[in-house]
Amino acid sequence: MANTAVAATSDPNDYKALVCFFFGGGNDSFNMLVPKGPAEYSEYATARSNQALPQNSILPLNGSHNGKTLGLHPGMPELQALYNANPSRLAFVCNVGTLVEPTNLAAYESGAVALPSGLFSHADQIMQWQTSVPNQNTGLGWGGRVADLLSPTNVGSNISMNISLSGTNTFQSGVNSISYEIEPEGNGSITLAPYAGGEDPTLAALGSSAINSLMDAQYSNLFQKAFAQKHRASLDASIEFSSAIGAQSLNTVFSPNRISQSFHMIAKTIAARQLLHMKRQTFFIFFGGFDHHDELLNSHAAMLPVISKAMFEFDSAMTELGINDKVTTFTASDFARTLSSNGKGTDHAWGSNQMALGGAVNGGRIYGAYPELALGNSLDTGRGRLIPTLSTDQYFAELARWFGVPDADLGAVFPNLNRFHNIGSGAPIGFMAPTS
Amino acid sequence: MRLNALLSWAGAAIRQRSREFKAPTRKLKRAHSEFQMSNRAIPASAIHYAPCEYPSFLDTERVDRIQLKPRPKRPRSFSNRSLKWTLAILSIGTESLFSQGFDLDGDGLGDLWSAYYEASNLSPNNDDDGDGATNLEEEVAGTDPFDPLSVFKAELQRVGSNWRILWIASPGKGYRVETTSSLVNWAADGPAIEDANGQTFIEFDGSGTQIFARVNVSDRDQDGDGLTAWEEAGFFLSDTDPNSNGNPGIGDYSSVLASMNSSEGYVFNGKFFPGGQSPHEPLSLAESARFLQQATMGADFEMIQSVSASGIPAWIDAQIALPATSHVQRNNDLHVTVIDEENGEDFAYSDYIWTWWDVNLTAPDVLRQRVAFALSEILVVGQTTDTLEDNYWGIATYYDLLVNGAFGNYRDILYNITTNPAMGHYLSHVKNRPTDLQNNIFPDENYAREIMQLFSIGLWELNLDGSRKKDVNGNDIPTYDNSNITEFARVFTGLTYNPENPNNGTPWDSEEPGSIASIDDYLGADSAWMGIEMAQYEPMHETGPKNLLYGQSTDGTLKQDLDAAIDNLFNHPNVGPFIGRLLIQRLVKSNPSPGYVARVASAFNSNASGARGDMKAVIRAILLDPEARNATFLNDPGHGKLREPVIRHLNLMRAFNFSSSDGRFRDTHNDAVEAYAQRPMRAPSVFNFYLPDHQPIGELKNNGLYAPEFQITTATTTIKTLNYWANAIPYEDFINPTDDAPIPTFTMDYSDELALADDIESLIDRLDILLTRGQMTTAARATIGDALVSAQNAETSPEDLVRFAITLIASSPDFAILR
Repeated sequence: MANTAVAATSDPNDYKALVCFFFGGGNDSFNMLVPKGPAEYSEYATARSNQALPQNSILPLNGSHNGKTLGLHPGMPELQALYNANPSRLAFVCNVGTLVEPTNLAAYESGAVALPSGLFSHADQIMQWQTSVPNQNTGLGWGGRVADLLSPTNVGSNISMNISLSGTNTFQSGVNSISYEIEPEGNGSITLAPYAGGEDPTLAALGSSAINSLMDAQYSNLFQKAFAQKHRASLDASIEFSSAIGAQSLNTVFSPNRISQSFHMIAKTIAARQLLHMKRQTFFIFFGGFDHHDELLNSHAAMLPVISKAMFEFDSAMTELGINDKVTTFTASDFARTLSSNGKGTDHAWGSNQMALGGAVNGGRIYGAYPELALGNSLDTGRGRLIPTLSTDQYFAELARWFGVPDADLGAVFPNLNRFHNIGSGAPIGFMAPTS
Repeated sequence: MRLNALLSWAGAAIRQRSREFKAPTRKLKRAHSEFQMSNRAIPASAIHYAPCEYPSFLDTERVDRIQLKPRPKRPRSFSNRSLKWTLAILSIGTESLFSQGFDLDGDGLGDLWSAYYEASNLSPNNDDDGDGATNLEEEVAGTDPFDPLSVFKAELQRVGSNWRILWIASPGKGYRVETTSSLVNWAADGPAIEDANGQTFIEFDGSGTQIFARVNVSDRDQDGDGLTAWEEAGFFLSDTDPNSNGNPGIGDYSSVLASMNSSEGYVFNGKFFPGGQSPHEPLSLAESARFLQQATMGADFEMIQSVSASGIPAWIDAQIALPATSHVQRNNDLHVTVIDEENGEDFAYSDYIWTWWDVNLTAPDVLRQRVAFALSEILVVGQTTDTLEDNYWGIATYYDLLVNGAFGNYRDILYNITTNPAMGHYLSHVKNRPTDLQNNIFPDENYAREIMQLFSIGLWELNLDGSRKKDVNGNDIPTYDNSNITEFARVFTGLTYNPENPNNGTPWDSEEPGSIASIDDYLGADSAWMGIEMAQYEPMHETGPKNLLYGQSTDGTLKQDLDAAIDNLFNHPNVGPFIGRLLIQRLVKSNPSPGYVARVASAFNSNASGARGDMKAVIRAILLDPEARNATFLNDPGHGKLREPVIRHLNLMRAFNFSSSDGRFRDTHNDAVEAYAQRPMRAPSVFNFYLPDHQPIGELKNNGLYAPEFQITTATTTIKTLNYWANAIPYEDFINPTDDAPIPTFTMDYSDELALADDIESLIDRLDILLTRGQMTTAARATIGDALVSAQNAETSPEDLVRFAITLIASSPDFAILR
């Protein structure tokens, strides 16, 4: 991969961050971005039957999209306000999903196209929404592949540019890039505590020294080696990281739940970017529990407000830091869910609706084509499992270009992208402001 | 053939053996190079090769100068005494890590070879008969370790213008002639020589450029059944058919294992071995400890000694014979005794997890409980919903299905989990209703998908060895498509909670159960729904034919459809390799070879009586497999697994006789499981805490290795775990007392270790057995030893010293990684 993207600069204002907000389990995003106008609502209500939201509960979004009026789930008033603001920093991207190549119903049914492996399966689709390579099992995420290119930008940094609030993940795994996992509490990272036993500090000093030696030792067994290396890296990073975070505080108030607090920790990490020598960073938050085969309506009513508030609070914090045009949050999920009901909820489907938020987002608009929702339409593979009309490649390449990956490297980061987008012809979708 | 070689028998097979372990094979070969160089080489001036094949070797120096170190003289019988040099005779081949075949005592020498030569208590690296070959080399060559005349050697004879290399072949061993012109790089020359028996020779044209030749002997296991060809030959079995013992469906390894442990005795290589005399010797304590870390939640010294004495097969038999410890019963016991002294009522605050810890700390059926936990990480139900969090009798009932299933039949497991209300709630097929086209409502696909993807057959058609089958284009073959899911979804309709009051409406009107927070709730009729299988309500079961896999279909009552669907999945050939691999990963190693998976899958497909799905046979196959037992695998850098944090936690407690003042362990261990990010029975999703195919970035991934448990090994869990132990071990503080339930006093018993506190080497030796199964690496031992000496010099008390030692070892990679 040509390393054309590396442009180390001493400009203290040179900074960009991408935040991946992943809804695990398959968010029913046709109950998140919902038809509001009469004709389109009627189509929606028929397909969704007892899982349809009441029309009058849907929060209206300004403007229309392909002649349709769309709205938001009633639990998301903060995002409604962000979308309807002028200028707006929130955009929706419609019916995006994992695709190996452009796919229509006839080709899907005849087997004439290559399909993502493990379509409709959680584990596979969660993986592929992070790799964007649904026809291979590389285990490398697109954030990791981008980090392989861009991490030399972070001159002087001892900590991975990929920071996870949700443990190990594929998105941030590259050939040479791993995630640094932190937690929402305290200073984010955990430092080694002294050995607590014994009457005097002798054992504490001996213990710390011995544990460091154990992790420095050479092991021939690869499991032992990996285990020691993980400890080594974690011990090294924890002191620097927690010290940098400890120096930060924000006025923006975040809700007490884990998701908002994770965004709070990201905001503090961004605030500490110069202490940590970071010019490019990715962040990862996994919000699980969206597999709503049952209790869809009740569960959504509890969970979507968490998303709305957290994204709103984070947006406020970025404004407080004066860095909103340098930070973009985007959502992802295994898949959307069947338009038709199973009586109690909905089942696994395919194309879904996502959001991008940040000062560099051309907000207040809906990108892609919000699909027809009538069962049996030309995208319906059965029960309202819709074939995506945008690939994850297009969605992510738009973000990667903004982040600093030049067109010359896009094909290497997204090996299937050229099947959907003429690389070099500009933005794949257009929801990000042009980069200078 | 460019080499003018004449083989002394007809139809010698030429086979290319598949190599399952490339890296370790290279390593072992390196380990033997010194031995090879100490042998002698022929003066190759007598051997002719076409000039283009080898660089000419102009210097005719006498190669006996090359001898590197003195070795005992070997008996020779040269037919041509004018030769001063014999061949470089022997090199031990290591075509695979199975070079010792059957090694249940883990002493690094094959048990059958040891038995045949009555060679007990030998060290692989000694040379008891002083014939120049170590005991290991004698074992590989199939020779007698006590007879200096019985040693692998070759002779050189002049036959006309040819040179003849002559040796005595043992049945089943593989031989290969290797040549070199440089004495540095030896290369196989000519075909592998297999199926040879007795006097064997190969001839070279004697005119031409000088080269050196030697003969390499190695063990082989061509059918991958875990027995070497030499062992198979001794039982008149075939090394090209893993099921050649005449009992359909029974693997040769299982069959040999059964005869070796039978009371009738057996014949090997024409020698009779009476019944009841297991050919393997007592296990070393280290091997016993290693086995017990695979088969249990942790062992104390007494248990390690006991298995060392009894041997593994006998211990497994005894474990299987023990009655199952019921989690429901233990739940009752634990909660009945927790009575609020003031109000005489049960405590509202309690948890199923009390029971999980209590059973896993105290129950005698340790193997069964270990397997049940493994199953709980494959057939996942988590207390992650409000309903299951509150209804811990429900989760205990589910767990008992796994406890009973551990030594039961997998078909029953599949049926029982399908009809269990906790699973019905967790994967939402409780109250799943039939198709209602008018309202665009279709049966819930959740359970239909996961029972196939996770609980039985997986996503891809598999071969017996777990590798994926390929279509004509070389692509993986899906086991099902979404239309199969929708059809199975129609089967799983009509199951419902049992009603609170059978006289009040239909079962379909039964309500989501409320909290079951006390024994009275549990025993009362109100909550009977959790303790028995779901009610089958026919009116809400979808009628009409439902397509199953393999062209089968079912069109019956709910019960008939359930049975048909479960049978359909249970009999799918994927189940053995799919579930077998997952169980191996949980118990023994993260990356079983294809042969290991195939042997376990064969046991799944057919036990000794030909029955399918017998978990006892599967567990025996997993734990007795050469890949689990043979010491050779310890050197494979890809062998082993990261032990789960909760199992390391239990290991630490169980090793030192953790006890409580009233014999019970009512505790959540919340601080510990929070640090570990692993809360038993609370996996974040049906995909468990980690995926079986997780690959951490770095050397593991670069070597194509899976390491599931690394998925929860993060920058925070690693250090939190160290910090937890740095506090819990010195203060024996493994518990989280709660305000509203009386917690007994818990103590650890370090008395045996305290007795060794003055002798740091002995203390480390003991802890090495207890915690690191005798595998503590040299560097770790030095680090820990130095720290303890310094602590001792600082006048640390014996109690503190012992606890400090345990903390350091618990923090080490040696403790975490089970090899």
